[in-house]
Amino acid sequence: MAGLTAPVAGPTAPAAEDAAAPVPVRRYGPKLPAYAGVVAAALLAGPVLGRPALLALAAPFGVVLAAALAGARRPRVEITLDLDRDRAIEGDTVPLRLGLTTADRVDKLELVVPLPPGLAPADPTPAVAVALAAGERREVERGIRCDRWGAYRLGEVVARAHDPLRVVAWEWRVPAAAQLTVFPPLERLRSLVRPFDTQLYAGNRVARQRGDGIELADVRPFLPGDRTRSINWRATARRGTPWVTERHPERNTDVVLFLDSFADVDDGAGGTLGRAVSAAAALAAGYLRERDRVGLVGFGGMVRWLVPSQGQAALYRLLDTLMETSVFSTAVWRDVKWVPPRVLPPKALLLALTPLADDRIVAALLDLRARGYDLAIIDVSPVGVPAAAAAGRAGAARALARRAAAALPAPPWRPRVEPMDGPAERLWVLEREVRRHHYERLGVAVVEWRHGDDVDRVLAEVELCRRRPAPARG
Amino acid sequence: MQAAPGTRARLTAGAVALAAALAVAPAVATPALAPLGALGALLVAGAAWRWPAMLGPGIAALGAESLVVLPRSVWPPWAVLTGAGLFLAAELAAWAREARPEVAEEPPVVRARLRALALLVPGLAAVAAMVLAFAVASPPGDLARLAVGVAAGVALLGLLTGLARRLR
Repeated sequence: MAGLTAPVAGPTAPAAEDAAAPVPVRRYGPKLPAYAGVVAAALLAGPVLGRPALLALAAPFGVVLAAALAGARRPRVEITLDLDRDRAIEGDTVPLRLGLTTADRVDKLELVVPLPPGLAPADPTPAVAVALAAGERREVERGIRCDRWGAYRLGEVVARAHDPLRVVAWEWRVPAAAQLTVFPPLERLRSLVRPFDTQLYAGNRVARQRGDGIELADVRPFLPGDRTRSINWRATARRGTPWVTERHPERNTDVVLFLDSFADVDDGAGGTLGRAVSAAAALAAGYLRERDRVGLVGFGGMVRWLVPSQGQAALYRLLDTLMETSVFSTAVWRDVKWVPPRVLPPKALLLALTPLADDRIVAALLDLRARGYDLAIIDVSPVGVPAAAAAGRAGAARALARRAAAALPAPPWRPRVEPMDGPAERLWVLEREVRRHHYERLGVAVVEWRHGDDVDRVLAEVELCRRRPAPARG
Repeated sequence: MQAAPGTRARLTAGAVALAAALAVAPAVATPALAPLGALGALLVAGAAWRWPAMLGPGIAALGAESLVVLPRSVWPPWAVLTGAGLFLAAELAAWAREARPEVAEEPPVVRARLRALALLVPGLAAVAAMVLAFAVASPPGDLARLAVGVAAGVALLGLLTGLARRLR
């Protein structure tokens, strides 16, 4: 809020008031020094020059100043903030209501709700100015446009009340505790990556095992213990001995979405983390629709996980956790390279979404593969975006420079950090390819997902590239 | 409720026009004062547009220009009008600075401001006329005493306003 300067300590709050209540700070507008200067000059120059007209010129300014300063009184305004709902989809506009209750007349009350990046005011102006009569109670409705997924907290309302003469203003911040979770639009996927193994519970996937089900598996001679209802009467009549039909049961599967939050490479299109989270949300919804159990491992500065579960509640739990995903740097757990064994259920499909930009995630995925997990990797690639933004490229260039510097025993030179283009970019792309080939040699399906590629196409490619892992030893 | 992007421009134009009128009137009588008047108008325009610190010097420059041409010994009603004009120009410039495009002002806010200005300008002109009448009526050489009297009167007004606010 520009225009007001020179903060001055406000009056002490009355003893009866809550000590935790925000205390308005008194601020003086630019009129105060201007008018005071004019009045002082006139009062000094008038007698010196013997010009009574000077007093007449300055009198209006002096009267306004005196009235404003003497009449300034801290407004007693209560402000509450309420969101129409606490969940929204990207692109939605969420109404926000500011409840105002005042004991005094306020000629101009400016209100603004500072919004975190990702949210923006839906109205063309971020702030609103209202006039309140004494004892009035009213609501002001504003809109919040949800530009990006995430879990947001609207922490405060900034208010500024002006006196009628606009010389003194009172400014204070009202703490608020409104939360808003913005989900990415859930893309409905046409196909999903099928896990190799199924679990024990009923689901929509045809198991490789044989048992009670619908899908025909085989026809074989009757053995003691077979149920009579399994007898294939047509085959029995043709061969003269009893034959039974074997079927594949329908089971569910466990899918664990493995989200790399070590790095968010700016690709000029929302970042790799944003694309990964959007895809993870769509995958979670898709698998849960198929009655599979879905879990989540967030692997970044710290490891967070949700054990696989199914149903609508699981979807909301997953989405809430996904929305809180962000790059989290910590020096406490710098060498995190392994996922705790009990986090991942046996026979689960691990679907990793990662830009493969951090050595720790590379090591962790190799470790999971070595442990025999069914692993597929979607490489959320920042390469190939026309505006693959300078920030991302420069960041990658810095990483390369750091690595080069670390490789040298005692660098006599400082690594040059420059925007990545030409040879540096080619080197980076080659390095990523080497990583992918390393996984492919181990039998892991790795598919590069560039910005603009259809997720369904990427998933279909993953499905085509998959190979059953060798059973883990030991 | 929409933002009024033209409000600031209109208020600035109003302040500048008034300042220009206050600058031109003395300059017509004494052309040598034109640079001072132009400087004052420019300073008021700058205060309205971006730099509020220019408001005081701008008003002072315009006041000084007017003071030169005001007749010395006769009762000068022109001084009252000039004082009210200067005050209105200063208020318009301050309002223009205050009307930021990122704040959507509800119509009642604007109406309250207009109403306050409509009451203030004639009221303050009356105060200026009264001060001037006292000044003219007082014997020559008593202007210093009058200045102290004006300051005391203004302080008393402030005190009364403060008391009234507290008692309400």
